[in-house]
Amino acid sequence: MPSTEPNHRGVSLLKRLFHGATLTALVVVVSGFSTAQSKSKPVAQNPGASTSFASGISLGAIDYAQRTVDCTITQRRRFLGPTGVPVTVREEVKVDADGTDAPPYELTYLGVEGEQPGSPLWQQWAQNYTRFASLYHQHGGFRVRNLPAAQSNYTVHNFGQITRAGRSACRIVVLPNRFDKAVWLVDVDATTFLPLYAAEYDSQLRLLSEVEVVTFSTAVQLTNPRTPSMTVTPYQDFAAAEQAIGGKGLVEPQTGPLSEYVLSRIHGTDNPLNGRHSMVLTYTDGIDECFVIESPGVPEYFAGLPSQIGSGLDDASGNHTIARYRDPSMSVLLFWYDGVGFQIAGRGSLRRLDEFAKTIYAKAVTGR
Amino acid sequence: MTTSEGPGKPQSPLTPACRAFLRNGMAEDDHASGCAFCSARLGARRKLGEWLAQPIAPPAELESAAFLDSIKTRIVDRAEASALGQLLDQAMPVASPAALERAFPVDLLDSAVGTSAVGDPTGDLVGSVGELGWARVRQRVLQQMHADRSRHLARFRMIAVFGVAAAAILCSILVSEGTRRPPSIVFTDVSSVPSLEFSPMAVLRHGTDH
Repeated sequence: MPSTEPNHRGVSLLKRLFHGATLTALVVVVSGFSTAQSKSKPVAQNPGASTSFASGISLGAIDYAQRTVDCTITQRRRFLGPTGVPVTVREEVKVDADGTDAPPYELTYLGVEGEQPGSPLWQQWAQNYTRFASLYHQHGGFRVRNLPAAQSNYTVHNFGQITRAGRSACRIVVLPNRFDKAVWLVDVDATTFLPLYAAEYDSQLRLLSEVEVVTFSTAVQLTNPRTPSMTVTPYQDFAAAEQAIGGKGLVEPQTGPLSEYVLSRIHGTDNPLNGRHSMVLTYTDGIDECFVIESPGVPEYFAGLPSQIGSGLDDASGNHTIARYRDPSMSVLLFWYDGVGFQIAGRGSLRRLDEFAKTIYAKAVTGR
Repeated sequence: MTTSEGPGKPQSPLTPACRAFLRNGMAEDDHASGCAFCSARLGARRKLGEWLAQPIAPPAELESAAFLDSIKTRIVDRAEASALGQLLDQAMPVASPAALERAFPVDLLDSAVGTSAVGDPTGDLVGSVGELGWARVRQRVLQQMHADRSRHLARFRMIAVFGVAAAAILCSILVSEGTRRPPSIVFTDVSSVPSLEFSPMAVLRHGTDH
């Protein structure tokens, strides 16, 4: 049997090369990008300045800050709009930290940069924020979602002190231990350890998302705490969710292909438009997230297609089909079986979602 | 003590009292002290009792098998030498094994039956059949042996083949019943994000789900 030791050394070497190249490229690219896009230009300070703050930046410190620090911030969130044109939306976030990982918050849509209030695009994004503000705040941007998992799956590299939003900050790069995940560039506030800037890059250094704080304050007063537009009911485990949502055919996924991901949240959603219930399982590796959404009682996703192959039915050769959409920013896999629609969604580079979806489908078909 | 029991007969020394004494187990009483005969019997009884109370070990010769065999041999020899032994020897003589062999009915071989079965007992048996004949007989015997052996091997092979086939069929039945073929799953790539009620990644990337 051939020795696997050379393979391990080769992989380790590749990892180191990748990390080194990524770090170097990130510093170059981000410095230029931030200068071009941001009005509050970061000013690089003397790298020889005090490093006591820089050396204290860790994922644990960021996680602690997210749970305990109140803040009122105005920030810009950039999307790759539906037409492929980047859109920068300004929003105000107020967080009343209570020590938990889901404190009360308020997210207010302020407008689209470069758009007059009331314009069609402005109104469209107002509607988007009405529906999806919770999703933007909880799942968009950089956040430590599971500290032990984050510490085992990512490494933090300090790149010195800068100034962001008029505050002293430290620039860090959060690198994943695996190639198929995003790389994060984060400017962390020196005083509170909250992120003031977060940019997500894929392995090809394409910018996938960006959130930039414009103004920052540690005072907070919530007037209208945010509630999701859909009724969201958290559950302790899969069995409780299955019993509450009902409907046969629900499958409890096994994170075999995504071994470093843990189930962070199970909740049920009720669509106010049609009253349909869905089970949403959120998995995280500490920072990254992927979702499994199971919707019982939905019609087959591809029933209207002219193709005779259904997503949940055997074709002439006995195959089951998963529809897959993938671009650099996201992966969405869909299939339908026995009256339940399944959606597996995650980052575009996480190709292991394919195998993950296959295991869920196989379990739905075989029942085990 | 003597008692007169009749003319010409010798007188018994036992009196009725003596007989009663003996009959009653020679219990010590006034009669024994007054009768010399009974008193002597009582004294002998005491002495004998003392001797009987001390067990005597038998002689070592009695435990020797050779000693006992010599006694038995001596008894047999004396019986053979006696008048009864001589009479039995004459009436029932014992024949030795050598004598039995010499008593084989050789005359039977000279008869027609013996000649046809065995042939001339005084002739050369090999020469009468011929070397070619004996070679053929030998060859036929060897062929028969090989044929039997090959039949045995063929039968064994047939049994083995059937056994293996039966085992294979049984195993395939058992395995197929216990396992299911995993479903075949294929991926179909689509060019745009499917329109869904809720698509979190599409919302996070594009701000909306359509």
